[in-house]
Amino acid sequence: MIRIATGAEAELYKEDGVIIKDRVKKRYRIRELDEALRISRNAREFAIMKRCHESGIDTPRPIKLDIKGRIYMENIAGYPLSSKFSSKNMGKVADMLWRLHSLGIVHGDPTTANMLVSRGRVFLIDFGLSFYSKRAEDRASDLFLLKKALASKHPEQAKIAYKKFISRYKKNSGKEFKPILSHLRDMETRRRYYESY
Amino acid sequence: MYILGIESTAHTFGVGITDGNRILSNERDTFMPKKGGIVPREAAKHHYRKAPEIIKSALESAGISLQQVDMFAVSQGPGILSCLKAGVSVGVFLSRKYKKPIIGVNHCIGHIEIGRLMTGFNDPVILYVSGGNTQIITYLNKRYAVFGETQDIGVGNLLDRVGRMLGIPFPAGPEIERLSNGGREYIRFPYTIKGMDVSFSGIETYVKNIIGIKRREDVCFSLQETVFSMLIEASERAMAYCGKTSLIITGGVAANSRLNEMGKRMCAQRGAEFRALDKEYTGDNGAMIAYTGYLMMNEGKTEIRPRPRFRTDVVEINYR
Repeated sequence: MIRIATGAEAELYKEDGVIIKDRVKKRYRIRELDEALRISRNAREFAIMKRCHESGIDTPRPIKLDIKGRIYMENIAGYPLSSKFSSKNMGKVADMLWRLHSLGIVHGDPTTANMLVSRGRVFLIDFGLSFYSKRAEDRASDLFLLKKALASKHPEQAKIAYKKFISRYKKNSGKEFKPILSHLRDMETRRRYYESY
Repeated sequence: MYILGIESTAHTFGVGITDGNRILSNERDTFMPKKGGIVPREAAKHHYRKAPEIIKSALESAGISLQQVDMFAVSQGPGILSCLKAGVSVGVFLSRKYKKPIIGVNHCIGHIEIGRLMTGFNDPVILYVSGGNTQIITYLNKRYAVFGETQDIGVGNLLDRVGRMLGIPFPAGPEIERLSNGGREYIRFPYTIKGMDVSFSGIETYVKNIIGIKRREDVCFSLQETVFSMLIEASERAMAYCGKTSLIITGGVAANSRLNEMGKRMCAQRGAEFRALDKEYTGDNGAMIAYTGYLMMNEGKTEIRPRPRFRTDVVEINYR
């Protein structure tokens, strides 16, 4: 078992071509809170990943969840979109995100680091903050986070990338787009220090 | 050269003097409302009244006179408009009277720069937590990019609101910290983290419903644990996302020792660096404005006016 990456809340190991995700104990949190968070996130991530994979969304195939709360999943040979960003992939991202939303799932952390590019496809990973919801507000929160992630991490290409994304997402979501957009506008103006004048 | 910085975004009026390498003086006076929170008009009145005396004592402890000041720096925002007006008009007056240039500084960037100066960290992730601000900031492509922030109220604001429900006067932070030491039971509050963003309004509503049912100490304890865990988790996400290896916690809430302890533990676990800031420089102060003014000396001229909603990420940084 070799460690391949340390994320914000989990460590990733590789063994016989299988990725193992271990949500480590966080020493800064008190035990009650830490355990509750880790257990619920592990269970939810595994369940949602399974649901996505069965529905044909590009995501690593989950294999099992062991007693220690480690998630075993298929290895995807690719690179994170954040490391070699290109707005060409945004159409695929929009397709994927709408499919996810129409299944009633909200990703919760759609940054470019959570999208793997592999053989011309984009795979969505890290469902630790995902949850089931069909509310327009929750869907809008995914779009808001993606927009912010683009603007802060890839500022030169953010505008074009987001435009590409949103026009495709709009086409996919059809008449459901309007309430999502109005929530998105609301979120942008609600946050602090929105210099509108 | 000497730079005099004026800070007046909220309830603190502060004046600091720097020569560019060291902080020569850092004086302030904080408006304390008798009850409730900050009333903008009263805070501004306090600033106007205290300004001469604080400028004088700052000059005295730096050992210089007003004629020797080479540049003035004022905090343009974000903050309360009437308070900002006080600082900006005092600064503009001094600059015209002594015919010296004046520069406008973003308050949040002031916090960042003084933090970098004091810790010696070159490229940290900054968790900036105060009454009105909750931001997770790091430097990227000539900007201080805000990676995470609150989607509704600031964390200090939440602490004050809970304080008010418990009958604790403003500012409530220190008393909540003291009470939390007597906490025995952890109550599970809503834990809302969205990517690198956090949201606090759900916690406020939750607390409203359990006040009087649960012990005060337990409410404070659970509040601190929940809120600070959210902030540290979001900071850790930003560190992992941007590949940064040091953390600074600044702003008024950074005076809380539990928050600093959590930051330290988080960094120790990921092999990152953490150094707690001196309380003198975590809260609002004039020295950070003076020092940032020094750094931004050669930036393009900007109009000097209060900007209550001045975002951190709109300022172009060319001096780094």
